[in-house]
Amino acid sequence: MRRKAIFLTAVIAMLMVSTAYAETVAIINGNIIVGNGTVIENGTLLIEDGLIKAIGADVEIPDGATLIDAGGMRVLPGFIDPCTTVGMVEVRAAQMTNDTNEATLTATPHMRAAEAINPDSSVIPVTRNAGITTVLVVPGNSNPINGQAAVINLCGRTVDEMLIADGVAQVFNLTQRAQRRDSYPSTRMGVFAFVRQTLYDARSYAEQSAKTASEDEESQGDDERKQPRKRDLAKEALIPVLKGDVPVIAEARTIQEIRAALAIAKEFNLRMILLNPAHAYKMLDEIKQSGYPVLLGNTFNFPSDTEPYDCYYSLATKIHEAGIPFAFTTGSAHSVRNLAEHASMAVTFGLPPAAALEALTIRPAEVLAIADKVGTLEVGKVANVAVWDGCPLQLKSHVVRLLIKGKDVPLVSRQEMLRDKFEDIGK
Amino acid sequence: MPTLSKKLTLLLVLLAPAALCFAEEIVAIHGGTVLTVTNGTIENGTVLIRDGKIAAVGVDVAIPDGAVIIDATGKFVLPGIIDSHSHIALGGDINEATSPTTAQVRMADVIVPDSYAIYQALAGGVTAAKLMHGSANVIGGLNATVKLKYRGKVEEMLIPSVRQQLKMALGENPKRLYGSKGRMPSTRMGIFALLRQKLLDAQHYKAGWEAYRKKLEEGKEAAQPKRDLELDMLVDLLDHKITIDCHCYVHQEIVALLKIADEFDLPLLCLSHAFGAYKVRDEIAKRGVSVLTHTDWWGYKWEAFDAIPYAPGMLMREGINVTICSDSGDVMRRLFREAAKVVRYCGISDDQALALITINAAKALEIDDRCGSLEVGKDGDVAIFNRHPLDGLTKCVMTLIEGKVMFDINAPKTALDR
Repeated sequence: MRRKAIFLTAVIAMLMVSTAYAETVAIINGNIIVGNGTVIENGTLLIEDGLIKAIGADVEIPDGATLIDAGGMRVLPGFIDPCTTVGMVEVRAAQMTNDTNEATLTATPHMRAAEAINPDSSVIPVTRNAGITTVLVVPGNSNPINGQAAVINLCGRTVDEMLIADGVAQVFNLTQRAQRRDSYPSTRMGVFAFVRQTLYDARSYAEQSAKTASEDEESQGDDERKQPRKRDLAKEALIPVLKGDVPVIAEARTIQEIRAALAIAKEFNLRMILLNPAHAYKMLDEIKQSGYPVLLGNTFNFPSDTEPYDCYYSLATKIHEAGIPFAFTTGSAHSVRNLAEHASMAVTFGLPPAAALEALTIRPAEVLAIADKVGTLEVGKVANVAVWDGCPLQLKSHVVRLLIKGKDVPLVSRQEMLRDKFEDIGK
Repeated sequence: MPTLSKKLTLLLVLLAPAALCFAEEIVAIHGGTVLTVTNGTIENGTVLIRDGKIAAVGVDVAIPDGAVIIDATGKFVLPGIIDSHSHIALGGDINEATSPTTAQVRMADVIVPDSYAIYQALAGGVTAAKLMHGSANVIGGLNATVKLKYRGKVEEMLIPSVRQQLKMALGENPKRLYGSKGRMPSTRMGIFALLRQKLLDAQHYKAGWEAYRKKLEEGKEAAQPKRDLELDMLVDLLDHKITIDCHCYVHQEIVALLKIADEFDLPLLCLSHAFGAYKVRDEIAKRGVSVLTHTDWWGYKWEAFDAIPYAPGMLMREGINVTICSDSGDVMRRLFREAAKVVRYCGISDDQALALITINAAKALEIDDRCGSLEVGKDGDVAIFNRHPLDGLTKCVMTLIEGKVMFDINAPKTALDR
């Protein structure tokens, strides 16, 4: 009964919120962890029209503001997972519900995740309940070249309402997963050559397009109109990558793969983000010198026979100590809710807690170039805020309140509904 | 004859302690917070292990001269963790997926004692596990309940006189595997029809052998029935010499299975995964079946879509014996972290959470007479943590099996180190 009452309250709250978007919200009595190193005891966070308006110990609360009493609990920025398939897949093994991986072609740079995200996915509330407010959604990563990723806030009726930015990265995969069984490329060297050739083809297409465009300009006014050039979406999609406007997220696990990623980035002057570089501990200097950040989903990798048992538990610590910027990721949909567990394990094996928290908030925001909007609780940023009843690195801690774009989001997913539905069985 | 064997037994009983005294090895884990799981928490306690068995647990335990002392000051002493569902150390031989029923195969035949995954699990405080056939077949093979004696002998790993469990599997895995080959089963109906037919075949086979033996006893001539290894195994099942752990997901198949177990008087001890169990927990509780499940897995296939992290608590409140198991070499290394998450979702006590990976697992595997808690007389299987095992920042620092140090964080090994 109690749970039903909470659920009803949540539904009512949801209805109220949707009709009162432009309201002012003040979170009071919070132990506010801003995310830039500052902690404000007994602080107030003032939110207006979805943005953070003020933060501090002595913030004046306007009349009519909705008050949320944090009761001394921790108030943190919403966590960000910078590589997920949230909204793209409902049931992984049920193909009709899975829109990740257009694996019918080897290079699909023209795939746009934003066009397949389901804002009503049951994965979204489950993810939010763990204090995660923002995710990068990738189109999959089973191809050497996969497509364009979008970064979204986990609240909204349409993708447009959720979008922070579309096309923020192109996703490459240089690992064995991108290899084909019976066709080219079926080896690592094949994958590397394929990616390079595809980039050269795109460069030549871009040069040809530019040339045609300038010729068209010169011939303007001529009676003889040229046929417009036939467009190739796949090649066009790689032009912003070649120009350095859009970074490449490149999954590369082994030494060979990481070397290839760095070499390809250099050859084509790409901006790169390394994804899941398991063997990074063997080549920290090279990665550091490249200046590329790392998305780390390796914490729970299983060590090989030559690696110590804690090799991957402590990988984040090694990357941090080398001065390489990094963020944690799950690379998942259904398990994004366990993002903070990666940080927790890393801290257990030596990562300073502050660095761990940054790797869940401001670091992923910086890597995705959205740090002006999210990642800390600073004035002017989007009000993505989680109230926690304990340290987020503790596995027993709960998120007790969550705001996305200043909206008080009910912490109810399909899983709480199922729990409540079967609460009274056999009684 | 009987007199002689009695005399021999007596002689052995008299000699045995002497032999043990000769090689007596005493380990005292001293000064830690002892989490007995079954008898509460003892601050600044000692666990005394003599010849592999727990000889004393308490505050005022006299440490005999010559004992090896392990200083656990500031640390937490837990019974060795037990993984009730694992597929490690089998050399990749997990599914004999050539027929939907293969009760004749035995996991004990393929254990690889020097698998590095065993050491990884030890580094996560795990000391015992059930090494299982996979879920490709409706009737898989005979699982092996073992101690994780890394680089030991298989014979030493197998826990003596334990009833082993036969793996069965319902739902999507056998459906997909055999259905895609145009073979039965391609539906849940097919799975249950196949299972029921096999059990009837086993009953018939058993009756044939019984009739044959009766005739021999009566001094009559009789043709010996043909030995069939698979049906032999199923006869052992009908005779309760082995038991069942069944992989299942949705609640309708759980109920159908419970009914078949009733119909054939099957020793159904464990339901693995069983994500739909919370919907029919009264039916499960009534029959005393354990549920071996996971904390927060869901959505990876259709039959896992209704899985909820609140289920373990709902099942426990119904009186069901619940364990959190790994089904994965990775998760096996951090079962204590999975148990901590059950506290988050289900609001259970710390002792209840620790029970999920210790005594409850021991009960599900029928080894609770020797494992699963720190009690006098049980095996000296111990995991020592630097913080409380449910603290998110804890790590296992030492693991002992029967008093022998199997993992020490100060002397970690890779698979290549001897």
